[in-house]
Amino acid sequence: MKKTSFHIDRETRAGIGFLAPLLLCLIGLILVPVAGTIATSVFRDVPYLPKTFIGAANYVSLLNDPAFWRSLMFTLLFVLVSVPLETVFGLGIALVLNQVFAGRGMLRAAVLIPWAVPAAVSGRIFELIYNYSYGAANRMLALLHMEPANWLGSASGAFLGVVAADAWKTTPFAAIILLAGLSAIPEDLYRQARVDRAGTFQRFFRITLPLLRPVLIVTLLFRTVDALRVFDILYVLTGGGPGGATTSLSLFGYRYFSAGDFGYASAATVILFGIAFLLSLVYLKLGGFSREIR
Amino acid sequence: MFLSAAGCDEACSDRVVFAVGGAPSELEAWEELAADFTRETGIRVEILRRPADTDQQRQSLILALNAGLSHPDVFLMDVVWVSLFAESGWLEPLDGFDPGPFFQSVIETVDLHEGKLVALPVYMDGGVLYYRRDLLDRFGLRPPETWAELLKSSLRVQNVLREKNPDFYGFVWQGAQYEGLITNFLEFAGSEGGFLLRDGRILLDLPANRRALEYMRDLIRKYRVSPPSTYTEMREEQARLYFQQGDALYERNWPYAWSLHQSPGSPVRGKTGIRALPSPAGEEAVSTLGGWHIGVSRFSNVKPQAMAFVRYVTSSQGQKKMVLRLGWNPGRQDLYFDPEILAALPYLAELKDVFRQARPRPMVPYYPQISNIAQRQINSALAGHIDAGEALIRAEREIAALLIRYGKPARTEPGE
Amino acid sequence: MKLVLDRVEKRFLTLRGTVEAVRDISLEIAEGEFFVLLGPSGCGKSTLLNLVAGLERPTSGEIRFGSRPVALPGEKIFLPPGARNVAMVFQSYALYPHLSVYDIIAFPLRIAGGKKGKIDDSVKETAALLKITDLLDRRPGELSGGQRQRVAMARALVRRPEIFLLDEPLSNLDVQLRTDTRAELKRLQRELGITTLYVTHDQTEAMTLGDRIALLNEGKIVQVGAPRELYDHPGTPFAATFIGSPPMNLLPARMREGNNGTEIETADAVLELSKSEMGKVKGGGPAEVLVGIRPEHLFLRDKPTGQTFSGLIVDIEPLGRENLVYADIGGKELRALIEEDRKVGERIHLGFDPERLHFFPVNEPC
Repeated sequence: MKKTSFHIDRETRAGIGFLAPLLLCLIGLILVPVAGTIATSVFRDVPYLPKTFIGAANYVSLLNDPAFWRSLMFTLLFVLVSVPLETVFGLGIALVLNQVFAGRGMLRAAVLIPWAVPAAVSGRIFELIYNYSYGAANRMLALLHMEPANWLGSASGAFLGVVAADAWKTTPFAAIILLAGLSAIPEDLYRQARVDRAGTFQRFFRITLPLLRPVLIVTLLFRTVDALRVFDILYVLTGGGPGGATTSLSLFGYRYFSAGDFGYASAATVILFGIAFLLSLVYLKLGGFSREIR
Repeated sequence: MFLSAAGCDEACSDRVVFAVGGAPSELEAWEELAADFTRETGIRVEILRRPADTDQQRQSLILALNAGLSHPDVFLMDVVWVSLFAESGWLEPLDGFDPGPFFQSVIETVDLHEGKLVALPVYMDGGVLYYRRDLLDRFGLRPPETWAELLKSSLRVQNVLREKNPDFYGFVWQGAQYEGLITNFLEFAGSEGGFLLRDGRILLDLPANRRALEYMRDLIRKYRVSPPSTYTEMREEQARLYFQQGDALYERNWPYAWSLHQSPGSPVRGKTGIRALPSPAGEEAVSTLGGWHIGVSRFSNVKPQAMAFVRYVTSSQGQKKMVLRLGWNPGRQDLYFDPEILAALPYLAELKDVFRQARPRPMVPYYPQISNIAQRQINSALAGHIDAGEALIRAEREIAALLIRYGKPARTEPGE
Repeated sequence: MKLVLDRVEKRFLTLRGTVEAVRDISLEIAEGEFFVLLGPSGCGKSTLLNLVAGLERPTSGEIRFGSRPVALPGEKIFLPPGARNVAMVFQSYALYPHLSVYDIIAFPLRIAGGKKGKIDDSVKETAALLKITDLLDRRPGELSGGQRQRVAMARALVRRPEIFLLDEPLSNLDVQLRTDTRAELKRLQRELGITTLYVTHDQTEAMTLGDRIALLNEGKIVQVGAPRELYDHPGTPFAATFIGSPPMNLLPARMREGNNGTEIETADAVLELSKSEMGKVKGGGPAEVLVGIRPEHLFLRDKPTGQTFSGLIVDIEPLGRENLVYADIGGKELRALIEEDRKVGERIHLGFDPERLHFFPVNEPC
């Protein structure tokens, strides 16, 4: 008995030793900046005024700032629309890529290209598409003898425009992760299900989806946190307009950072962090990962 | 940039680091000027290239100065941030410099802080009106004096030209949600409009402003004199290209566009005119003051050398070089009478008066935030989301909340 | 339900060219028969099973259940697996990992849309039959190999299929369990009377389980018959060595007509057989032959006769109840199962009953 407990101790110690460098990186590069941001958010921190401690005043101001609420609503709506969209499309693409056909390898590589393109570049691409005077979209409308549309000119148009641009770029990411999950499902299960008389939809809902669940949750988690932080595509495509209609919380915070109001911007960022953190916890609970490990 | 600047503290006390942004051709011109300076004085200058976007330039400077870094030693500031930098105590007073040769109105409104000179204008800008002389002649029109006239002549020309060219618009200007929108707005609002600083408040909901905003909106939505993309895409370059392709009658832009319109191969070469902007009826025309000013960092370790560089850049000789090289509008008034310069850029004679009367944006340190708020609401009105009046009221309210947060009222007099 | 395969062929197109997995196979399996497809890996037995299940389409030929064709490419008839009343057990068991044993067994019934009560009865009944009633609320991950195999069987049997297909279901079990399960499988099949097609590469399984065996090699049928038949009368050297363990000894030999009968010269021994003895020998034919004799049909003699193989023992494998002896007979290795204990290096004389000799022509294809 004594020997056993000594043995476990040593293993644990070794484990901690191996993890230590990673933990240090995590603490130094992630926890410290987060703590710093939280600290800054309770100060009035502008370069032309003395730095004073104001407690929750920044947060109170944020809650009274209509621009903040607008950004928050936009961000949440953006997540609510784009994440399911990308996941469903990604799943569709993954299902297709999971079949065996000639040229599959090349198609899999090609599918990743939009994701590999930097967000700023893909923003420019869509800018060219949506451009009123010489954009591809209006060119197509002209071919159909229709009036050119100011795609980014209305709040809803701009919203859908950025959702489309973002989905184009990030759907491949979802597709590849889901594809990995799909290929982990043994082919034998499907053969068995066919013999058991299950049709295509039945096989999908009773076998594929349940077995895909952990991977699906991971995909949703990644995409949700990324969508919460959406910035690049907005900065390039709409600049947050028209009339602030497509300003995300990130962009909102950025404007204040770049104007020098670090305290206010930090508070907005902390709120964003809090939301992302909460959603992550929800996802982890849904995924039941700890149960799987046990 | 941080790391490179930080790693350079002790070893680089022999050179002046100068942060400047802009198009590649501009940066090259700066390199040449710096080389000339080094040749004459033996002081080395290292150019720290920054992006062309003004917001990004501001952001990098704020980060460095807020951290108290010794580099950059000298930098260019957009006219709207000089107040922010001065209030934050980042600018070293330029003792021994004579502001006489420069535009006095500008010096007084922008470059003085607590009575001391902290910056000098290197490059001047003010909104101007470009017009198609050939089209106006064809229709027997003269360049408009008021905004109402501009609308009328635009409609007249547009209705005829649209038959052959459906992309033709009367007037292109900058309406996207960015700083340029405010500069345009102030010009539409005229001398009775704009930001009114009174009793520690900043007022925006003024009759002149309402009229201006409604006019801007109607240009786009009601009369279709300006393209729908005005409030989503139109910035300086977009408007310039539109006019340069021959698809517009009038263009509001900065003077830089002139040489581009006159460049070989330009469809509007030789057909363009330039003059002061129209005004609201019965008022004086307003041109929003733009431009870049040069300053020395309070944290610099090489202040004497930095001052020498500033002196060189703002000298007649230095300014003249940049004018001839880049077609700039110098900050020194005396150069506007220089025969060599006038020979190359004859329109500078007219611009001199424009600049003398150019109107600055509020010289308050938190101007960028005010601008952000106003941009959002004004752009929203242009998009047709809210009423012009409602937009101005909301902007005013948000600005008021902003002031409370900073615990300080707006300065009632510029330059205080 | 009678199962008929009529000149069934299956060709696969791969990057390396065409693969003929199944070549011109015709079989008739009677109702309730336990029919085994036996062969080495790659001989096409699994493909054949998939064709019967409907997981693959035949390139040509016909597959009939009773009188009803389920696959007839010529007339574009093809019933998918769901439309044929077959049940299948895969080598991997294919248990749905996210479901409980109860749900797995109930799966086919629920797909078919049965009433809850009836489903419950069927599941419990089949679980009892396979003795897994106490495992109903467990997950596949918590079961042992043998338990999983039973669950797979239960799922297959729960809807009383007309044809029962099994693809090497015992190969993942350890030897002891395999023997026990074999017996149970046979008993179960007899009790339920379902026509069963069983694929294996293990000839012991085939011999013990099958009513009839089809021996396959490289996509073709080598021989079909009852286990006894294949054992006593293998038609080719391939069949001779595949059936029976340890495999039959095959020695190249030359036959001559001698004074008293036939002389068979092989590997340093000359065997003499009288005419009447020759008559009892199986096979016969040209001068060059392969002589076959099973290890269990060799016994020890004290001294050499005209019907012995003599040589030195090179290796002995004690098997408990008998010993497998490897003897060097004139350069060729001979295997013999004898009860007596001997030592390596000893000289032995192995005799045989001529009735137990097999002859195979040399140039006969496998």
